[in-house]
Amino acid sequence: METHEMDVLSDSKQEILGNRTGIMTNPELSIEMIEGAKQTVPSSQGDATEMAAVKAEYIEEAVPIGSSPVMVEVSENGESVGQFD
Amino acid sequence: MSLDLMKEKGVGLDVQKFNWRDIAGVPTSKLDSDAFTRVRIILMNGIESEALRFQHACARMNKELQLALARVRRIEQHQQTMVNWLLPADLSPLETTIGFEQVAIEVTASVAEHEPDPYLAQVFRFGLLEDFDHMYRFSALMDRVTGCDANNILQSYTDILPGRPTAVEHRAPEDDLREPYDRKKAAPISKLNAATIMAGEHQTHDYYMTIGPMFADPIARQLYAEIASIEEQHVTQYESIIDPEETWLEKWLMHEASEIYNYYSCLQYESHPKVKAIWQRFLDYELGHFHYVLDLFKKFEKRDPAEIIPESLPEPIEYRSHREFVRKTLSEEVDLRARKTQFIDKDDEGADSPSVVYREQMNSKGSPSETVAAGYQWKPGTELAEETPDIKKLQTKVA
Repeated sequence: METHEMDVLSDSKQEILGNRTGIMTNPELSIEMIEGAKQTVPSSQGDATEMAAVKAEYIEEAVPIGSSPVMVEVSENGESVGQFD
Repeated sequence: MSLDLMKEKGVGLDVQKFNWRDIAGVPTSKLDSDAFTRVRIILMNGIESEALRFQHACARMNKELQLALARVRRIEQHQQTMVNWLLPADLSPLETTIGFEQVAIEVTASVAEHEPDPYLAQVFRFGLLEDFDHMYRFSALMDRVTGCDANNILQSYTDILPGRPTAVEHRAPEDDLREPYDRKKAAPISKLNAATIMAGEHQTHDYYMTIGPMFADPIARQLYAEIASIEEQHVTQYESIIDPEETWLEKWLMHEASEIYNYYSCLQYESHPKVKAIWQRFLDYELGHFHYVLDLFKKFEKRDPAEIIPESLPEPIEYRSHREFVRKTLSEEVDLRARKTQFIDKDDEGADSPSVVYREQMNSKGSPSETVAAGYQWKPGTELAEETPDIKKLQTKVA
């Protein structure tokens, strides 16, 4: 085998061994964790669409992008007397 | 062999020195360092944060202690910085949150398992199941908003399962207070446990209050608001188990003892050589603080410190997975609720009880923790790793 090919194989192996996901860190504990999750039902029904509905509510309420802040005019004696035009 | 607090003097305050390069050292790695190294870093940041919080409160009430407090506090602040700066830049606020909840679960589980007072052990288990649920909700948030798997941070040490639902953790203030230990009778380990968990919960609250508004997603913003509120309840709970009759100097001495105990515990389990060297260095610093405060205690209180300080430290906090203990607690106690200082079954909570009325008000326009985790079941690689026909086709092609 050419040295070049050996390097490629070695790199692939390193890539697999270097997988840094939580599962690869502790394979035995991962099995316990996965089994536990499979045996447990979610605490409530539904899916991520409920989050989207909440987001839609906020979008409706949001201030349009590019709107400028309202400046309040204050008189000499410190009272608010209205807004700048 | 345990540490003898009276014999081990550590290093004096005059040789406890820092520089900016030293304080801002090379951080740990998000994925290459062991998850428990991060757990210890987060907890010790909380312990040092509590040291500062207490010492400031003490200074405001005790003129004659102000200079001594300022001297020790300067060092504690630099210790906190050096510890907190061990967290890496690529650890996002949400990933750090997962780390915070791992601290709350694994450290509280260790404490609950070793707490000799049955009532206090129950208090710790009660809080544990609530933080356990927070992990589930934040993991769902991470999965659904960022497409990341919380287990990259947890490294399979800690489960991602529903606990006592966050939506029912909201309680009226009168149901968050607990009975304190008796300072004259309590075992030293009980005092150290209470100080440790209170510190951890307090920094968790403060962290969520800081980062919560940094999220763009409205459910994330709501969820941080909701869980920060529970963390505040937890601070209320855990500070109430500490005897309020302890004097200021007694409390200061116990704070220093708690710092020693925690650095000592970290040292026993640390695998990261550079971090281990920091735990050793700060253990020596804390022994120096302890003896400095011990002299003040003798001078001002004219009491024998042996009345309150154990000769040797108890067994260290165990930095390991507590999966079995947590699951057992979950199966036996998830339905507990609180009525004043006692714990009751959920069926015994009346519809008009203060906590139920309060909870209904808070959840009256939806529950963020329920919304974020609707139908959520953790699986490695996120919900997107479902075996859809497209994925199967891809897997076949790759194979």
